[in-house]
Amino acid sequence: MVHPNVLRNVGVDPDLYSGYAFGMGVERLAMLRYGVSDMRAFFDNDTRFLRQFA
Amino acid sequence: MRVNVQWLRDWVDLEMDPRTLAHELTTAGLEVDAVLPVAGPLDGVVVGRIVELAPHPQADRLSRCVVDDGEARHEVVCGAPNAAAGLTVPYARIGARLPGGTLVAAAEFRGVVSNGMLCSARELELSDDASGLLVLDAEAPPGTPLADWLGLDDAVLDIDLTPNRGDCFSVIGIAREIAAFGGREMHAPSLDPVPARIDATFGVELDNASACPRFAGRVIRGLRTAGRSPDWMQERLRRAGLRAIHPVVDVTNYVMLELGQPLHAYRLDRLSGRIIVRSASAGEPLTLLDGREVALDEDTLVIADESGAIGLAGIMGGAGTAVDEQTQHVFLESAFFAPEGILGRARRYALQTDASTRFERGVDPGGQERAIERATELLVSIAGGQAGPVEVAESLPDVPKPVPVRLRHGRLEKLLGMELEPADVEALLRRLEMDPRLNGDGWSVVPPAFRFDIAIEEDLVEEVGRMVGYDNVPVTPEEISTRLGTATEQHVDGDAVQDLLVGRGYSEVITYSFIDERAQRDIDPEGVAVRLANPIASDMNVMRSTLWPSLLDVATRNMARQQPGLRIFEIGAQFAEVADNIGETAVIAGLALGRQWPEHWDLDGRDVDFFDVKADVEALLKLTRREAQYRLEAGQHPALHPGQSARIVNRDTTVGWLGCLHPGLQQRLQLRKPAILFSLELDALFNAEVPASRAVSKFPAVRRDLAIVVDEAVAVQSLVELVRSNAGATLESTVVFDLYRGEHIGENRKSVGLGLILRDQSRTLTDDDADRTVQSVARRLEQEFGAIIRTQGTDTGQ
Repeated sequence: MVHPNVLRNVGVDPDLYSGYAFGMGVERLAMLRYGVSDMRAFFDNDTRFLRQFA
Repeated sequence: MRVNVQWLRDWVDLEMDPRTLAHELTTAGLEVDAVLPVAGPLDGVVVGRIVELAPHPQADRLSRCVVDDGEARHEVVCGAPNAAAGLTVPYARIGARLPGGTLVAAAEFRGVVSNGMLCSARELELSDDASGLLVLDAEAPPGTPLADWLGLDDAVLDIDLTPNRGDCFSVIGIAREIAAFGGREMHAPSLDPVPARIDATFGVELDNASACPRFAGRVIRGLRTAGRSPDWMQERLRRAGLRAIHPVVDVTNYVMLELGQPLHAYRLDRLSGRIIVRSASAGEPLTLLDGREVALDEDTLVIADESGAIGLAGIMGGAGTAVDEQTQHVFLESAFFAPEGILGRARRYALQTDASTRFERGVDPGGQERAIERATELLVSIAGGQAGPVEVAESLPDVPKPVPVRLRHGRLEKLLGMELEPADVEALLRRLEMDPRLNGDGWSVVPPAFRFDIAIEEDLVEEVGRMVGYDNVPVTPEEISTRLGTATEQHVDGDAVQDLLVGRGYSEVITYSFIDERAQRDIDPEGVAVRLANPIASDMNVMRSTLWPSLLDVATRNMARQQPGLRIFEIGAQFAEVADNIGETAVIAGLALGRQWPEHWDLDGRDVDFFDVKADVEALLKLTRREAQYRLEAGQHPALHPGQSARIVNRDTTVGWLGCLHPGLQQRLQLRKPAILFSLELDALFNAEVPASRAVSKFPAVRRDLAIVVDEAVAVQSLVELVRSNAGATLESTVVFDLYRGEHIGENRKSVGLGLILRDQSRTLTDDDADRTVQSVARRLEQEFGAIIRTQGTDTGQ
């Protein structure tokens, strides 16, 4: 859960609003969807990998 | 934190397999990174005992051993320095297959046949210790499969603990979670106090009670020296990633792993007077266990005796009082150090230890006696000795006490988004050893003393949430109201930009905004780098002022992977110091290199050039339908080839660059082929014109061709522009149909063929109309550029 102080510090009333933080990066979803086994492939920029998607 | 499943089973009922357990722990918030086997298959490897040993007649370093494997006696040749008669060791029978794949067969070593093999820990892939044979307990029965004797049917869970869960840095902590999450029973192994057999004690004085409010100490005398820890303990330590050293050290490590309470043992005969737990004096010297000498700061807590500091409290002991294999009498320390007194010190002295990791996060302030009793019990059973009474020095007001935290039932349901029965909430909290007391519209919850992370209502909501299981929070599709946006034709969508380049053979890349300052300076020597205060790596120390270094890096790496050619682009931000702020500009940058086309029988094998990429940039600009506003002007850029570079100008503002990488840089980057680069501010692209339609003429067109000779320095674009502004309203379009350089034209001259397509909206143009237009254009070309008109032709065939 987002700490209420974090909300307060950005001017959000923690009594009205609350937040959850989940580690759900777009890469993780893409890994599941496309069967990518190593997240580093997304940032390695090997064109043999990139061309599989375009 | 590495913990093995067998050890957990001592503490909690666990019927499930390790993978299911790992999933359950991850769901409960203790992320399991890996489930690892504790050993490879060891079929045919059994406990063996060396019953006789004689030197090999032909080889100094080998010995002939007679090994009892429970069934028969075998002659085995062995080269291990620690081989000795009476030793119990792993014996691989003929036909055994070792984890590394070796098949054990009878083999002759200088005339002596070896019937099997005696193994080191490394040969069995249990550890990387290859110094000698793996020594087993003397009472291990020969013939027992080694996997059974060592209990290798086990798995290690590698758990990635979050910093708030210091209480889980132990077998008991993980077991508590497993018990709470599955509603299972804990069953602690016997933790009965070990009665004192002697009355020896050693005084302890707490001089800084807020940093160390509790200190349990105990004297143990008369330990057997030169002993070793039993196989089961050595195995558990190994599975946790620690090495067995000797019983005293092994026991303190074992208890730390099991109960989460770091312990320390001092050589009793090296202690003088009494123990004083105090703050160091400035510059106080201390030689640590690892031999390092440190000068201490005043805010560092030390364990001292009357001779001075003998250990860094909660971090590492000193060399002077360290136990060794000859130690007979020890003083055991089991203390609680407040996290605030330890935090940051270990890092300052560059000493992250298992102890400091635990004390920084908080150990159970009530667990000192239990740990010291457990250690005594284990130590006495392994190494004998007689224990004195446990003496506890404590300052009760300084021992942290759990503070009740309020939990409102309504708030809990609102934050979790589900309804919960109050009785269920109480039951879940009790399973976590919390004490919920009804209080108005909710509870006042007292967390257990070992939890240092429960301070506010949200912490309790999280606890209830993970106990219920986030998977069990109902999914409710939300109703939301939307307002249609104001997407207009003037807005060019980012996707359109990406699709266009992908359609032209580019791949989109993502690179870091942090780059190496040297790479930046190569490309942008005049730019002021935006330096990072705390770079994550030395080659990522500035914010990039251009995307080109990143693209060139991608290109170098791809070319190293034998790619015949590549076209890449990136949409990203570039940064610049603007006054005392940091300016950020969104740009699209691209790079093309190597083959223009894939290899094909009907296509030439040429490499991509400036004009190919210019066409790509023009296609991008065309998205705005204001392409006429943009001009490419010859310009000089430090990273680009002086003869093949152009600035992209929108009216009078430079919005980008296009060109061939400077040959010097190309060489420095060891690129075999010239790279063509472009970069364009995205704002320039995102703003399009609404098309304004004109009526299409029903009348035929007339074409007139002009071949003119001009100086090499005159850009063809300026010729076309002059034609456009002088040919009048009937000019429909202009084409460049020929470009020629040759001897009879003269040096530094070029011949340009321009085709003027003329058409009128209301009538068919006559030859006279067309000639008049062309002549006036030709005259202007002569005046403006000193053009020589070579031919004027008519082409009506189009």
